[in-house]
Amino acid sequence: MATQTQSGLISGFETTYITRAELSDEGLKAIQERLNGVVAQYGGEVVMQEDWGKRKLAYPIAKESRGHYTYFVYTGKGDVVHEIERNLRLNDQVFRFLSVNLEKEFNIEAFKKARVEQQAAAKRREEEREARREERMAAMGERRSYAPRHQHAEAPEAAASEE
Amino acid sequence: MSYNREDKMDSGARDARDAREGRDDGDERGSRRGGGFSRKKVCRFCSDQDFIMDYKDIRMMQSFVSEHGKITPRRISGNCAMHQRKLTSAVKRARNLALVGYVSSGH
Repeated sequence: MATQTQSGLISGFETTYITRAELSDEGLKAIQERLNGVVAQYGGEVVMQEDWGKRKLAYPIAKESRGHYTYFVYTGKGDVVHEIERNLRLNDQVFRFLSVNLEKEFNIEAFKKARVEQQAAAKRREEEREARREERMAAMGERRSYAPRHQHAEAPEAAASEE
Repeated sequence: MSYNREDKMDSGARDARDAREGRDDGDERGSRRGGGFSRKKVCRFCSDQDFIMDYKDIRMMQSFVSEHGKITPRRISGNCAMHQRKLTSAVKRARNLALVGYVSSGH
C-alpha cells in the first residue's frame, strides 16, 4: 500500500510462481521473458531470478502434485505487481503465485548480498544438521551392536537415508 | 533446493522430540520442584543472527510446523512475541506456495 501512496519511491517485490512440471524449458523461458518485458515496460529492473527446479508440492494444486518453482525479484512501483499477476493469471501453465512487497526503500546491492548470505547460512545449518544426523546414526550403530535384533529392524531405514 | 524424503521425515521426528523435551523442562520448572534441571528457552531468531526468518527456507518452515501442519506455539518453540508473529505469517506464505502443508507435512 505504501508504494502506491508514495509513488516517488522505487520498491522491491518478489514473486514466486509455480508452473506445471511438464512445461518445457522453452515454455518457462517464454513466461520469464514476458515478465521481464512487463517489468521493463513499467520502468523497473529485474534484480534476480532463481530457478528452484521441480519440487513435490506439499498438497496437490490444480490436480498437480509436482511443480516447477521460479522465484524472481524486481523493482518498480506498485502497479507493476498487478500487471505481473495479471500475466501470470492469464497463463494456464502457472497454477500458483505469491508476490511479496519487500521494502519501501529497496537497495538492490544490499538485497543481493543479504540473499547470498542467507542462503549460505541455510546451507551451513543444513550441513550441521547432516553432521548431527550422522553422529546420531553412528551412536545408534553402536547401540545396535549390543542388541542385534534391533539392528535388523532399523537397517533398511539407515540404508535409505544414506543415499 | 531439493531435499529427499528421508531427511524430511527424520528432521520432523527429531523436532517433535525436541519439542517434547522442551515441554518436560517447562513442567519441571512449573511445578517448582527443587533440584530439577531446567533449560531456559531462547528465541532462535534473536539469539542467532544468521537465522533470518524466510518463508522460502523450507527446512526452517518445517522445523516450526508440527507433523499435522500446525504452527509450533511459543511455549514450545520459545520464540519471542515479535518473531512468533512474523513466523506465523511466514508459515502461511509457505503454505500458500505448497512448501509446507496446511494439514500434514508428510503424506
